[in-house]
Amino acid sequence: MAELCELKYDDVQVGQEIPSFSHQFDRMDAVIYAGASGDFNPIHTNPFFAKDVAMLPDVIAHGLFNMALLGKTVVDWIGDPGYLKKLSCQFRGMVIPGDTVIFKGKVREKLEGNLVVLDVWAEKADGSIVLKGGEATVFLP
Amino acid sequence: MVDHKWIGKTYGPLKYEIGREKMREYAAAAKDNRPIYHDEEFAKTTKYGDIIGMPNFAAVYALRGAGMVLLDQEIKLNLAMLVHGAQEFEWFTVVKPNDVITETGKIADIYEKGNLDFVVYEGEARNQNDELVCRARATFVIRGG
Repeated sequence: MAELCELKYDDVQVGQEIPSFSHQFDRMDAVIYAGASGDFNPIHTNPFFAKDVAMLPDVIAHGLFNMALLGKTVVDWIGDPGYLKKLSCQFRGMVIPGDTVIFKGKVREKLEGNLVVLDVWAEKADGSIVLKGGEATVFLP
Repeated sequence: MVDHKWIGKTYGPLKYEIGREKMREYAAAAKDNRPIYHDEEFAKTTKYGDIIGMPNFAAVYALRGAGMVLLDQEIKLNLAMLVHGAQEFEWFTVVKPNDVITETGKIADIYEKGNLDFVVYEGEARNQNDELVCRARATFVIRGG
């Protein structure tokens, strides 16, 4: 059996940062995510609607797209997607084409039952916040 | 202000059949090429035996009731002023191709803070074996009260 998770609960330290993931958002990302998710709100895909009707600077990334990249960041660390037990965040900053978003996590506490709780968030290169107050709970063998 | 009488209003049951290519499409859209999401031959060598859905794929199968809340003609939320403020997923098992998910949901809470209205939807997704797969909690924020 191929083992997906090589990380061990005992090897994790409170305060430890997990590898970050960085992504530069472009407008095709939102078109592709709209099709994959079924969320066709034109603020994500139609620049004319986004600017002229919704009064946004441009199309903006789906919040759930950003959250999916946050989930990917945690799963990249633990290896086994089935070990991600909980993920939450607040959608705060708008992401427009050209923005680079960095997804981050830091171990907050270790619980009984081999559970590890992380603070997770996403910010742009200039430090402005995209996903705030996030929390992930993972199981580790 | 959104009338608190809608707290407890239920949505569903909503059926969703998990499709192999849809799972892959979602993972690819989320920039994730992890083999366990895409490659059956690899997946056969793992405890899962087949590809599994990316956890965040729950945005597709566990939140359809939230879309119904937004379009609910009895409640008539002001969509022009509404944003998805926060999201929480809790997973209990993985999803695989051909799983049949049944989502049942409700408006879990309605409250105000300043001139912001908050509407919270909670969905619960179970599979064909009646196993709990995911709980999803979406918080919508409406500006202007």
